[in-house]
Amino acid sequence: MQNVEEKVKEVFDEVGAEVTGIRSMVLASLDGLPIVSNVESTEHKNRISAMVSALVALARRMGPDLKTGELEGVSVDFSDGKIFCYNIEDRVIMAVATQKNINLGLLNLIIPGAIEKIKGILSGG
Amino acid sequence: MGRTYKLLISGPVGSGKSTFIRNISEIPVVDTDVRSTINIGKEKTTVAMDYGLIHIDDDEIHLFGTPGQVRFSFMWEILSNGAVGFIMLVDSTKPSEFPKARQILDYVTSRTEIPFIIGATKQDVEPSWDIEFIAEYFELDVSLVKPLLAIDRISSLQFLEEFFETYLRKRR
Repeated sequence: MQNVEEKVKEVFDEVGAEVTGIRSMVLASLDGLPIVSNVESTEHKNRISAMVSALVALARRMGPDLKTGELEGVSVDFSDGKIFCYNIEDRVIMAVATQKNINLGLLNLIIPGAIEKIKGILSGG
Repeated sequence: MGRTYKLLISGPVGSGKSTFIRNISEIPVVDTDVRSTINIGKEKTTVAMDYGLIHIDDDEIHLFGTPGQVRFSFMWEILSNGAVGFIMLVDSTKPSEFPKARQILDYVTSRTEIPFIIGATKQDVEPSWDIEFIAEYFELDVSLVKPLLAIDRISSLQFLEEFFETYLRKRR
């Protein structure tokens, strides 16, 4: 029987199989602790989880000040890639690092389903 | 015309950083507190920063508080950028946290020459370490360690004003 980590990794693999250009995916708690990731180094995984948490917390705090409503996600562009962070029910954060030329339409089509699956897994489903 | 200053406020978990900033800020503090999933001795923890603002006479002082947990150490570097003063808070009743405080102090002061002071919080709680012993632990002159009652607005304001007048305003 699969545990939570294995089930979430399976979802990560499904996303990676459907969308070309996914570099890594991380599921972290709101307070920056790693839950599941496919980042190889443990030290790297821990730091990434903490950074994702800080980024999302700051973005969430900007919402009321800029009157942009509740936070749904954060996207960041770099010269060689992009990072997308998704706020999942204010419980956990899923971060996806991608290549620069990722097919955004496809990613946006696939991610909601992945988030629903992760919600189910975290709820014991 | 007043000047603008950026101060860095740091220290281990539970040392009183968020309380200190909340107590002296003239604006609603920007906080990034979330519920902690592990036992850190309190319900919530700062994961990105606290931000507050205060004026001393015409001078505008921006207060940037760091997270206390070591896994957020990257924020020490980000928030210390451009800071002209550094206030490090330590819980006088928790010597077990002093090594973490020292790690933060060494990290910040080794990267930039910045005036700093240690605020020894919870001096009113027993048993707490005396100021002299805390200074000895950090190998600092005792004048660089001051008692601070972070939960008290007056004490916090006096602490900030003394640091400002002694180490920052005179550098004009």
